[in-house]
Amino acid sequence: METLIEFGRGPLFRFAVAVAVLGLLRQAVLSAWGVRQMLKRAADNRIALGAVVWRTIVQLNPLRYFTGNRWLYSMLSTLFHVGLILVPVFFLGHIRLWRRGLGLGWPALPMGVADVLTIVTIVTGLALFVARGWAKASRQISRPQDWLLPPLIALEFLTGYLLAHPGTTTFRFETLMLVHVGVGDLLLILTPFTKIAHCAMLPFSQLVAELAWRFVPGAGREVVKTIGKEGQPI
Amino acid sequence: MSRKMLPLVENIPVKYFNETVQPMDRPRRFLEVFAAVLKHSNYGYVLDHFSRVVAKCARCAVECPVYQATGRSDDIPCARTEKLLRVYRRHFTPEGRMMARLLGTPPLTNADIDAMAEDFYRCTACRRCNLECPMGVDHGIMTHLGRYILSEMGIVPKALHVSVREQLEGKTGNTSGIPVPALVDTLSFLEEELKEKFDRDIKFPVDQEEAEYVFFPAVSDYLLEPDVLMGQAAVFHATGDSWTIGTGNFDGINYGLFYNDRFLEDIVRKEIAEVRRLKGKKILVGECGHASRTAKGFVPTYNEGPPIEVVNILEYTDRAIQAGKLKLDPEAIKERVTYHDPCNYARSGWIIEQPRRIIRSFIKDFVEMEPHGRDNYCCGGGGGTVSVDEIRKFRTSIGGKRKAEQLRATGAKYVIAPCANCKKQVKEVIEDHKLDMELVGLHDLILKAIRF
Repeated sequence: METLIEFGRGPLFRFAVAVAVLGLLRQAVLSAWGVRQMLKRAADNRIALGAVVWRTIVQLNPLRYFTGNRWLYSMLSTLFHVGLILVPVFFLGHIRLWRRGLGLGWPALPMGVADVLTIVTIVTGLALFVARGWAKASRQISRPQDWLLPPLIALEFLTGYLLAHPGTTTFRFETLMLVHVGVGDLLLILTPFTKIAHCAMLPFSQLVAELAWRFVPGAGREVVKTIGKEGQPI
Repeated sequence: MSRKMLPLVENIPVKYFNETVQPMDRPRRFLEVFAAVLKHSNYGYVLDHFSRVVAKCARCAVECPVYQATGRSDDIPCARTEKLLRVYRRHFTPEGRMMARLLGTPPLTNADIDAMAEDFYRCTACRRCNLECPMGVDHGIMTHLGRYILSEMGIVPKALHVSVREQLEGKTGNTSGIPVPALVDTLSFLEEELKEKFDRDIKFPVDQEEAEYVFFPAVSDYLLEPDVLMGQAAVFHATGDSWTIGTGNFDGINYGLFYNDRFLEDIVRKEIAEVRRLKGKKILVGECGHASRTAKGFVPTYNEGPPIEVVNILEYTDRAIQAGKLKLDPEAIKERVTYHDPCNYARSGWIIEQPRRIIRSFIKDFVEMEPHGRDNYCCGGGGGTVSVDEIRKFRTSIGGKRKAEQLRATGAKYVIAPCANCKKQVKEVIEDHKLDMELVGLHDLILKAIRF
């Protein structure tokens, strides 16, 4: 088990980080390249960039969703994201791992804050799972990844909490560590291939939506030529 | 060839699609058209992005008036979008093709095409869902693209098809089939009406060269909305600005927006050509929502000459009031009035305050619907569905359910629905929900209140 844990914290971790970082980079580059291509092909490529940036800020502001429909789901989701972003990066134990794996380090969150964020992430992760099942609409459209990711993340945070507070559990330290490291690596590897990738692509969304309606002149004629309908009456 | 589609709602048989492709060839044809569209347009980048960011949070479901009324999972905007994204991923991305080999993901089927044909026309393309999508997915463009692909394989509601065919290939060149002599007769009749009402020579200038504004209302206004037209003419009489109606093209309607980019482009180019022929300076669009959006949004795309400004008549009248050029009698309208925001110009935030400033300048008892403005509910006939008479029951009882509730809650005597499509739909919503109110255009009321 020791060997497996070391493998998970060492080579597998480095591999998982590389997959996540390169994968997200690829997604971001593809989005940026797509935007560039759209701008090049559209005849009307004047963009009110200020308005798009403002819409992006508005879209990314989680508070706006608290008063609308699904406000509870939105609050849960926001709290979930806060812990999800901060704890893996700013928890002291993780910083040691980052330093060991990548040779980089930075200041850590106080232990108490990290604990609270961890508990919040566990609770909200499970609550999001329940909320997804509770609301008919989200239940109807959910994919396997939508069901799996929140509890998987909650499991990762739960094992992390138990590892940080060994007195609170009867589980073996090595078992918890193996699960924690294994799930962590799995989540990193899944990042570019699942909806977690939105973290790299979201800033482009409003620009893509704006450009989506900037059509390419003559495209319709080219389409009918390609499909062999040219000259046919409507 | 006519083809029976899945019922839109129980007991409403729907036979309103044209279809030219044989059933056995449909999936192949759909993919051929899809591939051609991806090759020549920008949709591929949009699909690529949206297919990666969708989070399936279902916030869009709560925003959609159709889903609110039906609770049917296929009416959830994200679910509808997914139908097209699935085809894109499965057939046009390397990951999708690889996964298909590994997992045996089924290819596109006839049933998928039937489902898309139905679902993309249940959507009113109002884009309300887009406002609340935390991922910024525009389900409106997805509905548009889905309909576009279907239309190039021949699946399109007859009502839209016939209108566009008449506009682009017919003798009259407009969607209502109005010949020029009939237009000229109508205009001179309206001038007589105005003379009788105001004892003034208020003109509808025709083919006047070098006018500031070339006027493109929804052509159906010439048949159905004489008071709106007279109100607009009265406003121009008061301001003294030059304007004209061109006999080469006097139809602002552009159903291409609802289902086909090629027709959208051709119709916009036709408008531009008429402005050039008349040496006009600006395009003035009537109260109609989609006519305004298509001109405003696509003239810059398809105009190859000097820029042409696009102005909506509500913007124009608002400016005239702000400049003190119009006198409107505040005692003319005593009844309670409410205002319906057409999605095609309110959703983007373009025209929201202008009509309200006009209304408040002479109407004392104005009451808002809730929600309104950018968040307003679609009338239920958006996206061209209002043209399809066969689905009136669906439009008014499902698509228009929230609108009927909103209207009833205002207690208004008049509901102003500026857009020509909204006008028809709201009128039918009022009839079918037995609401005690009257539908008007904004320039209807201006005609009642304007003083010289």
